[in-house]
Amino acid sequence: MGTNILEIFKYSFMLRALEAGIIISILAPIIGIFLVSRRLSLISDTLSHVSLAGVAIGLLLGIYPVATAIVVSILAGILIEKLRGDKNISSESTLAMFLSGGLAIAVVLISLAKGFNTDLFSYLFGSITTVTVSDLWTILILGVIILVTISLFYKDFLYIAFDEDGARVAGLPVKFLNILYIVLTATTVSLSMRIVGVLLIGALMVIPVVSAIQLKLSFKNTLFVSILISFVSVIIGLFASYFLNLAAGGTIVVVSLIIFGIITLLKK
Amino acid sequence: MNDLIIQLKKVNYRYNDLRVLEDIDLEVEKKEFLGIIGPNGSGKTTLLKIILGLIPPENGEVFLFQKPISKFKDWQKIGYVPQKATQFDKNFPITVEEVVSLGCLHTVDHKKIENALSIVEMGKFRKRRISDLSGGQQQRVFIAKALCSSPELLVLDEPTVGIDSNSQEKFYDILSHLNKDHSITILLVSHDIDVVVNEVGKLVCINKKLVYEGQPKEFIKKDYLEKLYGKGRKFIIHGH
Repeated sequence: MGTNILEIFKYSFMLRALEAGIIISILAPIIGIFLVSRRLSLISDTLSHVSLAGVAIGLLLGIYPVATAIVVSILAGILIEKLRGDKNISSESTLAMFLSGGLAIAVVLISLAKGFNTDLFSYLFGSITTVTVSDLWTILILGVIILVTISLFYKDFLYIAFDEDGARVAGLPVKFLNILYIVLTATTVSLSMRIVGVLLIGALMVIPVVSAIQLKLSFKNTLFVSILISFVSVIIGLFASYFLNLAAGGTIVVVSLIIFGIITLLKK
Repeated sequence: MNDLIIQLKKVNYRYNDLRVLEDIDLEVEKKEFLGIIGPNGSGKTTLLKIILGLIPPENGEVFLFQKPISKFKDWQKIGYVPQKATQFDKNFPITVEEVVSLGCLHTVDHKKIENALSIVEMGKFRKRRISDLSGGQQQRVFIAKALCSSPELLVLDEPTVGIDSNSQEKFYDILSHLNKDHSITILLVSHDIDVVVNEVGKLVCINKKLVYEGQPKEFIKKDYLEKLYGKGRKFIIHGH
């Protein structure tokens, strides 16, 4: 490489990418651990495709795309949660419909207005050069709100993930908590797409958690190890992306997959 | 009237066109150990779900601790061990201690967790992952979870399904201890008549309607079993 590794800190765009990346690396597995435990990993992929439609709406109307993505994915999330309670439609079909529906709407909107294809590319796969100051502030403020909410309702979410009926009998407002959780998931997905990209955020929510689960720890320690794996993946991924000129989102996910592979081999 | 823990008046339930429960009247008094039995599809689990407020009855009234269920808020007074307690996802990353702590929901009272685990003699497994334990041990952990909020009523739905007979014996010893020494009212639903009649103080048998209510020994003497399960059923009483 020949370049000084510290030169990365000279560039404000890189500092913003690192700061945003660190926040996302903490948020993704915190949301992801409940998704994986409830076998609902596909929800993150579904919401990310829906948020792409939100991005397209934002770009088309000239509104801040992260904001439109958050609004659209939260609305879709609430609708998915409502439909999950419907006995006539299976959860899987609901997710499949929203996933392809979100993508379809995005594609239609993109074809309506030509000219923002390059912008859209960075939302699809993430980029280290495109994190703006307003992105960073949005990620920071909403990130803190998500973290505080999860820590307030940690035990309630754990109870529902482990035993939903039991949580109901214990008097927990399960319906409300499920909607709150999907709103947090939708927001995290939308926040993460600047760095990791819409198509890959699901992976950052799932792979660190699945890696940590193999270590057979308590729920709390599995969560800490997931955050550590996610953090290391994002940092290595962003540095590699800068020095080797690779797509940020893809590199981050590949690093997390390598960590998953190492843990799997060591556990055998 | 004694302290009524559960009271059902003319409870009916229908699933689509299928009548599941018909005019069920039931009273459970404080410190009672009540067994509810009935063949598969007799409405046992539905009845339990109505008592626990998980589904509303079609009509009829349900009282918990002498309050109409719609106004009942003290859910920590009820400990519940669901039918599929031990059928959780085996990859779920959770330790025995964490499972039990879910039972004392709004506090993190380590003493209560330790106490609940020592009652079911599972204290030394605190830090183990629950999926690493045997079915019988897991079931005891779920009782500890139900005990964590110091409940006055313990409700168990088919708790011994898939558990070997040695563990079952231990399990019923623990229930009996809770009932006699801790004065906890117990409601146990099971299809395993042979064991249940030996353990409970009062027996209720339902088959959509209330078929029998009274002493377990009387139930064996009469020909209810034949009516319910058909002729030729061999009835074995397990002794301790």
